[in-house]
Amino acid sequence: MKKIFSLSLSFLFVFNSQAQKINSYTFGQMEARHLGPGTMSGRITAIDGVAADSKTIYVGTAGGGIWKSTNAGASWKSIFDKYCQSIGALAIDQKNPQVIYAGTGESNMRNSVSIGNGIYKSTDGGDNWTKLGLDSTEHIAKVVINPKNSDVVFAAVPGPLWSDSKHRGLYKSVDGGSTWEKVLFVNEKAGCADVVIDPKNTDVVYATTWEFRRMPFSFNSGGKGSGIYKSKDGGRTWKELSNGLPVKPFGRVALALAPSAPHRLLAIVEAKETGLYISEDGGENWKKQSATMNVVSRPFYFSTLQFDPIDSNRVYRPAFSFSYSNDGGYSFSDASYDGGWVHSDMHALWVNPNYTNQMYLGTDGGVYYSLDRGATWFFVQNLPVGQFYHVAVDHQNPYRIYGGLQDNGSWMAPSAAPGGVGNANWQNIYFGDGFWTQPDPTDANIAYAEYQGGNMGRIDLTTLKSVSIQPQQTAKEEKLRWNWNTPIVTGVFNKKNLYTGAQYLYRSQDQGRSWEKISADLTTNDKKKQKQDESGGLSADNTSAENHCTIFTITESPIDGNMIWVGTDDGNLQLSTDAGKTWTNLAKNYIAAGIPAQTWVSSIEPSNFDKNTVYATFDNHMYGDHKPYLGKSMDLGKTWTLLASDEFTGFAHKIREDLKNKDLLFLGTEMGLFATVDGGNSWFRMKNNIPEYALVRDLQIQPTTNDLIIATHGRGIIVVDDITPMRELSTSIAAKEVFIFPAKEIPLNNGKFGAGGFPSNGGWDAGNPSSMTPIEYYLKDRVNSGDAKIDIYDAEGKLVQTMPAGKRKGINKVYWNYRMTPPKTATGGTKLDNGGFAAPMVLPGNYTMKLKVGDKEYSSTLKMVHDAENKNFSEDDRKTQYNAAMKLYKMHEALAALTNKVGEEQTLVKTGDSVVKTAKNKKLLQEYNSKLEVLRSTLLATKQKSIFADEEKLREKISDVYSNICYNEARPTDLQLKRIEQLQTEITKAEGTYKELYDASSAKVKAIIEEENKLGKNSNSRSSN
Amino acid sequence: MKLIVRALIVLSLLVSVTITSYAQKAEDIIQKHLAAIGGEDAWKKLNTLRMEGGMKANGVDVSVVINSVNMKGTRQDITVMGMSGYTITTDKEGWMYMPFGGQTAPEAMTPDQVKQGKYKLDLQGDFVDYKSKGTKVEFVGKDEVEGTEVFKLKVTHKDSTEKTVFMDASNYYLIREVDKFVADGKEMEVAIDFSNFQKQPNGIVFAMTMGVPQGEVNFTKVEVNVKVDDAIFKPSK
Repeated sequence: MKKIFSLSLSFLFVFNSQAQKINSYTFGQMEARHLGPGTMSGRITAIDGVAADSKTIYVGTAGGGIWKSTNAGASWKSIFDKYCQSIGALAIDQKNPQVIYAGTGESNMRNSVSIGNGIYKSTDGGDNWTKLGLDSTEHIAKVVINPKNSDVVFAAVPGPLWSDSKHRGLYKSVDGGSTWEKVLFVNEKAGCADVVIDPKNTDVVYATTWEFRRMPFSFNSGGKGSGIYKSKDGGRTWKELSNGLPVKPFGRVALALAPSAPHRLLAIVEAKETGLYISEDGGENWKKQSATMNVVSRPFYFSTLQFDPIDSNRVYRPAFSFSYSNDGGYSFSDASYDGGWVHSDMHALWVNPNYTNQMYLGTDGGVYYSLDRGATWFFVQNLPVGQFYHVAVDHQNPYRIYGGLQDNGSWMAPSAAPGGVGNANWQNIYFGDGFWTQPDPTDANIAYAEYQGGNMGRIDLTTLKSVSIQPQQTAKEEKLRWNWNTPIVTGVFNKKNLYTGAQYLYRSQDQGRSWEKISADLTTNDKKKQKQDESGGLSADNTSAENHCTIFTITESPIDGNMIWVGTDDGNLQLSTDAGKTWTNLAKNYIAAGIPAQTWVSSIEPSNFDKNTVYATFDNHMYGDHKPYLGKSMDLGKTWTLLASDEFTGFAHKIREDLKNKDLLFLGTEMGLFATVDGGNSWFRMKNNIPEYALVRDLQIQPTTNDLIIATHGRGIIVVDDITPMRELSTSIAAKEVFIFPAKEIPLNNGKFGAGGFPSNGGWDAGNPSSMTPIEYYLKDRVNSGDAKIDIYDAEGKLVQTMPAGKRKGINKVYWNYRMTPPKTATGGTKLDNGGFAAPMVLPGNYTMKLKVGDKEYSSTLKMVHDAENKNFSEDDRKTQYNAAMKLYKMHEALAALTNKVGEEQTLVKTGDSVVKTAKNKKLLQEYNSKLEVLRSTLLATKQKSIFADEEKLREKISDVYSNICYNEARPTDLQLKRIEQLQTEITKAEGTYKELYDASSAKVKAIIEEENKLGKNSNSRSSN
Repeated sequence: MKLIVRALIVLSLLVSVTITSYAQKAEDIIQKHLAAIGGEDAWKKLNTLRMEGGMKANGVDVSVVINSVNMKGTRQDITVMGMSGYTITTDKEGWMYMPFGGQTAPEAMTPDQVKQGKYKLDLQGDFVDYKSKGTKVEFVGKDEVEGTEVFKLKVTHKDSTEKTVFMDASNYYLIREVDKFVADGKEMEVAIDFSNFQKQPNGIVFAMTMGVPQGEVNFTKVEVNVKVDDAIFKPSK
């Protein structure tokens, strides 16, 4: 068992005892690692490119902010991490491409869509953003800039999905976004879904309006408020277009104008009979066209329709698949999969107007690009914007991460891997929309996963074969109601238990081979909320996304296996304390605390420390209420306290209590990750390389590594490696100027993994957590005056190594490589020598770490131990290795000394050469120098400079074996040990050669130089006399 | 060998002395910043500079010597294990000689690299007489650098090259700058952190530590207005 060592002085310097506010920066260098992956990405909602350079591309995402590439997609940078992550629209001012508008809140109005908080503008290519307003619009579908006047901007605002709103409509700015005027408003149920400006006559503007509404249990697209409008005076007045269009009501309308022939318009009009319509006279008259299923399918979700920028007969329809027309929309073909499958469900397209073969396509699975006008596509593998719903971890080493993603199935990956966790480490294990994906804690080869509507399977992870295990309706039972995001979870206390829930709770103890129904209907069973068959509005859309009155959350107490908590999507919070025999509905108790009735119980967290304590989050956004609700009960749900904070933003998805510190809690919401270290009294937003408004859907803490694993709905999986300091850092510690965290025993090794082969050749690369133990300390403030460094001393007080120390505010981590300072190696060669960078790893024992901050010094003890986990490297092997390395270390220093001596003699000769005039003596000096140079050239590489030519002399020979022995985690081989003896012989021989030369010539040379120097001086003296 | 490559990347990023004098609102912040680092008058007297220092990575010492003449040139010599290389930047050309991995002769910098290095030749910094230099400074807003409250300023030079600087709101020291540039068809950003601020005998305050994510350089000696021979700005082996 590992002990915690602290020795001295972790308490170093207390300036005051006042409570220091703890926030994200307190944890300084504890920065999160983004696992991505990029192999499956997330929904892309907007793409725009800079026409002038053809390689600057901006991508807006459903929940991952905005990404920018300046090299046509070879690499990407996230540029919106401090703001709302749901992006609805992007628009670049092509006259000044440094100006970009971003409308937040995507408008693909599916059930899981997030919301925005207004429109932003950058005037410097995305480096900085200013919020311009439209704060309450929640969804912005499109932003367009007048191509002739950059100050004129339109924003199409469908507005809120879950409530009526006066903020819907088409907004116009005439001052570059500083102020906005609503120029088209129909009613509080219908917003503006699209807007197009005629590029040749910019007073002509077209817009579509859309009436739509979601409830938790239904969706409607269509109504009197939907229509197509035209303005001829820049948006001041509008006329509804109808001639040739279908009978109203309309639903959503996708509208396109041909830039090269602006009289030509296309519209996909959702109606009782959805169709594609064309106008050749600026929308005054329309004619229905034939259209493929892809063109007219799911119009509320597929709203992109686009003409080629220069060819008015070329039309693109990214929808369920990618269709294109060469005859102005009369007929369509579909893209080929010759370059690989293209993810279905497409929402964004940018065609380079200067090279129309080049296109970028946004799908539910990421970005693709084409160089042949959309016929075939390449996948962009380095955009980590996957939309996870849930995450789970297992107990392997390294542990594996499991999770399901929106429209991208269920996946697993190791948390660490040789060479770092990259795309190739991710394995797709189940299909559909992925949600809960659970490893079986009793069988490492089994996982459980499900896709929408409760379709679930048991997966053999060795073969990826799956078996359907969804519980079935039995006689006398109502039809089973499965949530779109049905929970399937394993027992926390009873590891053999597997739970899932429709309106009833089911338990299996044989991996889903048989199920026991252990509850009656736990929902409200409100029949008014069970009419999903009628969902969709004008276009039927019943994909189980609106299934309601279902179980949404299941949790078994970690302390009492008979205690099971269940939350439903219609507001019931149920508790059984007898393993499911009886149930108590606690809904009225949380309602009494001020939490709305019928809200979704989004997570339940029974405490790890007290079985009467429970936390729960409640999500009421589907009734238009985006406030976060977090409740705590300490009496098994009888009474509740609402935990609140001004820091909170976004509705609440997940509460997670730490496994070791009951006061450390994490809250994930639709707009951020929050933490408290004082049991919920004060909260702060986690910013440590985590997007500040990340959509945090789920949280796990791995018990062995103490990692916090964050499932985001738009930024993939994010891991904060080892949160131990968060457990330890109290307000009293935070008040100290400096605090050194007690170090655990440090096993001596080179880290967990080898370097692997070549570097990654693309895709998202998450790297690995450091597998070396850092020296961790806290600084109350950034060090501005004075330096900071760390010295390591051995037990005898000898300085082992010095390294720079971090100076940032909060926690700093310094990684000592557990090695000594490298030897002084021979200098004067043609290349640097590897041996000069290598050093033996220290032996197990106690070492003193001295941290110097300015003129103050703090110290602590590091206990270095042999790595007992490495069964191929015993302590005896380590000693043999150390002794061998030290022999070579000393040989390097001996060689360096010898080389220096040779150099000094050569310098002597060189100096003497200008003094000595006698030919005979000059020759003697030259001969001495030549012999020295011959010797020197045997000591180190002195001739070959090319990087591709390895000249191996004594220094290089020593370095070769020395470096290998130093960095191997192995006993030196027998031949390596013999090699040391051979090299020692060579050094001894070289030293002997030098001695012979020196003895034979040095004194003589010095005498000659002295004598001729005197002669020279006398001669000079005589001359001057 | 990775260490030395890393060290050299760090040092080449610094290219020359990046002296950190750097525009609540921009003018006010600039004036306070200039006052905090010794005053504009003192900086205006700075014509030459010699700095010595080094960096350490896993125990390996890399020494650095920088010689600069205001608006003329700067030369950075790097020595590792007795082997030396250099970087030279003038207002017209630049050279790099890094023999550590086998380079045998100095190599010329590209015009873009020279252009980028041009503003590093201004020893007096971006903010001394910035208006007459044609430099525009915009106050972007308050921000945070690793938890330290800062003023964020955007600096746009006469030729449109940009950098963003972050000044500690408590003392007006410049603690980070992010240089943004397009070089050889690539858009790049280089962030440099500054710390260890020390007042020199002539009253001006220097950041004695400059860091990039790969490591940091600590300067131990600074000499101002010493004689620097222009000849050092020509490449030699």
